[in-house]
Amino acid sequence: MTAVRFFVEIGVEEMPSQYVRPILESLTQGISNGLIGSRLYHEPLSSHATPRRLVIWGTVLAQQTPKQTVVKGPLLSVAYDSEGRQTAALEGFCRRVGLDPEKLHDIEDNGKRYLAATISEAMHRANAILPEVLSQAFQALPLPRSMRWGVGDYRFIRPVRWIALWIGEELVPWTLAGVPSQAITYGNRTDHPESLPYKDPDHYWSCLEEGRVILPFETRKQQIVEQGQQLAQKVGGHVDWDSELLEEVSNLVEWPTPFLGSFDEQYLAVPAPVLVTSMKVHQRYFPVYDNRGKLLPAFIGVRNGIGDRLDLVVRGNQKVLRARLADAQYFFNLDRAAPLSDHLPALKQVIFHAKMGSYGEKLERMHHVWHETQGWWDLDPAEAAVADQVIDLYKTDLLTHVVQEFPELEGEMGAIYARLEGESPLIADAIGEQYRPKSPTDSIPATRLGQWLVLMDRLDTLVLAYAAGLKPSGSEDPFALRRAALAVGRVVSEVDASLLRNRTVREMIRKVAHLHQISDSVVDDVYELVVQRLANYLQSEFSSALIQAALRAPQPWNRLRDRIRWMMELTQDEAWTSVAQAFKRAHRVLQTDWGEPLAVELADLRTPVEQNLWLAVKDLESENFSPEAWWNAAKEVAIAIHAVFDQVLVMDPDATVKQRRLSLLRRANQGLGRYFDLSVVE
Amino acid sequence: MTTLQDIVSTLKEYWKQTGVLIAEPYDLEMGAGTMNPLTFFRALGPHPWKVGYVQPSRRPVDGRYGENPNRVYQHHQFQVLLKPAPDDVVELYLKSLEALGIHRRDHDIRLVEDNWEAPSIGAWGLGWEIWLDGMEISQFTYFQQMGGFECRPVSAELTYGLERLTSYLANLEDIWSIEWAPGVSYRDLFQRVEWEQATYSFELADPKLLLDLFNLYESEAGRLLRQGVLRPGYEFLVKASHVFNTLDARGVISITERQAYIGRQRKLAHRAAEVYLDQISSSEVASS
Repeated sequence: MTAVRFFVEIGVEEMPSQYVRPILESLTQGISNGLIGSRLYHEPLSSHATPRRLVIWGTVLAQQTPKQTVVKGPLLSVAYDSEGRQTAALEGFCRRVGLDPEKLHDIEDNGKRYLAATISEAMHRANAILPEVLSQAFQALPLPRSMRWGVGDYRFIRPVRWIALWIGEELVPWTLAGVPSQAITYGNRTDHPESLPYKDPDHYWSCLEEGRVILPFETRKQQIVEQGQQLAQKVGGHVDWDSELLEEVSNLVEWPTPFLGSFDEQYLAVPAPVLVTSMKVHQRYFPVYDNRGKLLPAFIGVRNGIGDRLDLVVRGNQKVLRARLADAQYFFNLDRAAPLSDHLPALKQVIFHAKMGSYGEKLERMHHVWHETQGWWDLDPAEAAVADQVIDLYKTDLLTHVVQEFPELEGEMGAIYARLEGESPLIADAIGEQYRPKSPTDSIPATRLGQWLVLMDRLDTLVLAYAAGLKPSGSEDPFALRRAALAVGRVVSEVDASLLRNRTVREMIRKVAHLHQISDSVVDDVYELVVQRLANYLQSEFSSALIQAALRAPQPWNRLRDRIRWMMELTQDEAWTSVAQAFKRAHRVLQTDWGEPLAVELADLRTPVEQNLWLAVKDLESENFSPEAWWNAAKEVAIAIHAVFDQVLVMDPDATVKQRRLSLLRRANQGLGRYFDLSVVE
Repeated sequence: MTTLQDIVSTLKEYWKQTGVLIAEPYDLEMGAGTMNPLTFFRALGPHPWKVGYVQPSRRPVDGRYGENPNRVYQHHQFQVLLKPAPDDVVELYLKSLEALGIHRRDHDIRLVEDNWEAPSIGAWGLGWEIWLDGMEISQFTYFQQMGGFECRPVSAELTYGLERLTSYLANLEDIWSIEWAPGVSYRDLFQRVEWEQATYSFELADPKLLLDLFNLYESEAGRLLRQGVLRPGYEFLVKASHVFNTLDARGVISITERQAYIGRQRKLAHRAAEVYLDQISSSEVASS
């Protein structure tokens, strides 16, 4: 089958940088699917995008592959009457498919015989089909927010301004969003705003060079990094290439020209996070650091295109940054005039959530919970001594000028101010870690008090939100409760030593609910959300059965990953199946409604197999086991359980005998299920 | 030195040459040039329209007693509405900057995503902030809805921040040093006024009086719009909107109330847009 080359460019006004990549990917995928569906697919496509163009090319089949469809007609028995004449049913079918009766054949379906027509579909050339495939893929693009423009009723993320479709060397007629296919493109807005006519797709690439457009994202990115690094070396520094910002900036320009700017050293008196946020978030500049990681009074900016007067661009950007930094410095100095604790009263006026009251009320609830649960927490005396202070201070930075100007610095600013005010590092660190983990790749707080604060804060939020009926549903989670639940799960499961001495998360949730007179149904819902989010988070590493088995066992969750890995090893042990089966055998009979368990003594048991089990269970129940010793005991218990099932009738007619046997099996299963809930394992 | 009045006349001249009608500011206090009837109403309906004007914009919450180098209670916008938005509208805009001496090869001019929304008049659109060497100097919006009605055809609204442009071109750090005309600085004209306006909005404004005014203006707007007397009705809405902005600066509107107040204004804006659309469709029937 012969294949032909095709080439498409869709020129648009500046698309928002964060959508450039997803739109290109969806469009390429949509076209591939369309080619498959229309029997033109040949091989994977190539594609590139800048903020102003989507370009896709590759080869497709020159003509559609053959396709035959069998259309089922009337039953053979009703196609002809008793005298062998064609019936109305047959004639109707022939009219519908456009074939004479002799062209039909018969098929069998469900034991009955039917007449059928085999129709060969037309095999069109790519030129005839491709425009429609492209238009459909374009119209089906999922867009975050689309717009109309001018007089038409077309929709896209920004207006479409020029398009071209080539098949082989031929410009093919095609109209997209009211724009006709034409053999012209445009350069970048700075260096070549005029149109660039081209002869064929090969010529297109040299036109782009002339128009100063770098089509591949990776090349633009590389150019920024290489040139930016060289510029930074001029001031003896290196650049912080924040990957998100780099992606954004690479998709803000068609030809990046990095430049080095500087700012007055006096601004270095302002804490680095404030300066860095100002540079990155407000201005999309990359900060420059010296070899010891100290911020230098310099930055890397990126202009679009080459242009003439980079000196003016640098001067202008420096002026803008100067105004920003002067603002930041002014706010910082204003904040330093009063201690954080001065903001505490005003937190009563700041709404946390319309249905959950103010921050002031939240802090009062947390003080109350802390006082009622002090003995539950594994904190050392120095940490416990400052806990109330942490609660008082951790939200005060919301009222500082710097945080109101740069909301992304909440927490971090509180820590900076607390340290400058001479508060204990324990307090400052906990405040600084309160929003962790911010993302699935972020780590949990490193300090014990930071971990405690995250649990206290998120449990309050979750319990109060559920009590107010603010559950997440579907894609709706406006209050980020899922993230809060995951933070609880991650902190509890990723710490080395349990933060809650002998208590489980569920008990802690219940305690919080009870202290605020909130019903038990909320406790189950919140607990399930925590389990579900944590299980979901761990799914990329472990099977869900292993995760559930570990989470649902009556163990604190600390070092959860280690426990799951250990279970993975055990499943490779030759005795694993025996242990799992023994648990399940017992589990099945224990599911019946058999009354209250009895205390069983060795002397109560009549048969040697039961006595053996009793002894093995006694071993398994020992508290001072290492995991290895527990596993050895578990294997013995499993053998004893199998023996009981094989040699005695557990459901003995004598009610007391039966009750004792079930009670013993129950103890055996509690021992076997100590680290993993084996009922959820396959 | 570049003066603010030079920039205004250059922009007026440039847009006049492209066939834009140059109008005068609307004589009511308003928060943005979009509320000027030449934009609010004319963005609706099918008829082509091109207009440009300066509109003083009052934002009481932005008042800083004349102490902040860049933030003020009142600033000035030069505003252009092009309906329908021509295909080369971005180029037209960039050429207007060239008329001001801002050449794309000498400066970095960037279109950065901005989704514009004015919930109190039921309006939204997509477009960009225009950055000049890293500083926002303009807003560029393709109107999608106005007064809760779809805009068909779509107009483009181009808004120039005159103070920012002037301070940039004159290479000044703050707007107070700008010259409005040779020898007359922005400081001379507005610094004392800014202090007075901030003192009024943040300290002296009487919440009771303003709340009463808001209610009166709102009901008068509603009454007049019901009777189909469009412009006076709309003007009472514009007055109510400014009173609301002052109440907001005075800090007497809570977050929950805020939504409700904005909703009340949007309802009136929707009603006004509806009356306008009725008027133009019946005048077409009459003239056909």
